[in-house]
Amino acid sequence: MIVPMLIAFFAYGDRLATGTSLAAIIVIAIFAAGMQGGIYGNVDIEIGLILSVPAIVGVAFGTALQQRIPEKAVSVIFAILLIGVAFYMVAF
Amino acid sequence: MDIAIAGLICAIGGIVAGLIGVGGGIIFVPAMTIVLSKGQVEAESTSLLMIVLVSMVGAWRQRGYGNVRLKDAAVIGLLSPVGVLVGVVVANEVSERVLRIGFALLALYMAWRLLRRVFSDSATVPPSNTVAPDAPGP
Repeated sequence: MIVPMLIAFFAYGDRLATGTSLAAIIVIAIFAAGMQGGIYGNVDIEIGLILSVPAIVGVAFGTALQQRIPEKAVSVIFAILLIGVAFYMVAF
Repeated sequence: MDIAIAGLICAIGGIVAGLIGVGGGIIFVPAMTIVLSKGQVEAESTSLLMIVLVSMVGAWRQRGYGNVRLKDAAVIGLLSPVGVLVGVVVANEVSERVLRIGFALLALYMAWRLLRRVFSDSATVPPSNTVAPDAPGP
């Protein structure tokens, strides 16, 4: 919800919104991990680190790809997602 | 073999995360529950570890492209626990049906704002020169 809010209500450009969102998610994920009882009990650190390798390659590729597609594409993707979420919320 | 499939799905999750600025947990979690038969709680907790690492790299890359406002990101991040608390209180006070309809309306309103911006910008015609350059003077 961060990206569409920044674009729709705070006049952010699409790329600026996604970049700022990723930076905010660092903090949010650390909080969430803390609230969930910490990294200790439930986290499979080995699997997490192994799967993080392709995920990190993916995010580097995704951010690079984003610089090469029309900026408005992110807004269109989010508009479709939001309409889907709205439908899901009411229908199910 | 399963770990390779899960890794491939997580690579796709990473691409989505970078492309649209989300954590990617919505893809990482099913990669672990469905492919690796992890429990929901363990998968969600493990995905948080992944999201921290993925968002760090993603934000670092986007910072390089000039697409991060660090101060705003810090404010959003630090306010998020407040948002969670407000959400919990509201969720306890309001019936689930009302909550879902309210959220659906908010989602539709944001979708409309996004689309209006996309189409109003692309529909803008370049300013035409309505004043004839050789208009006769007084």
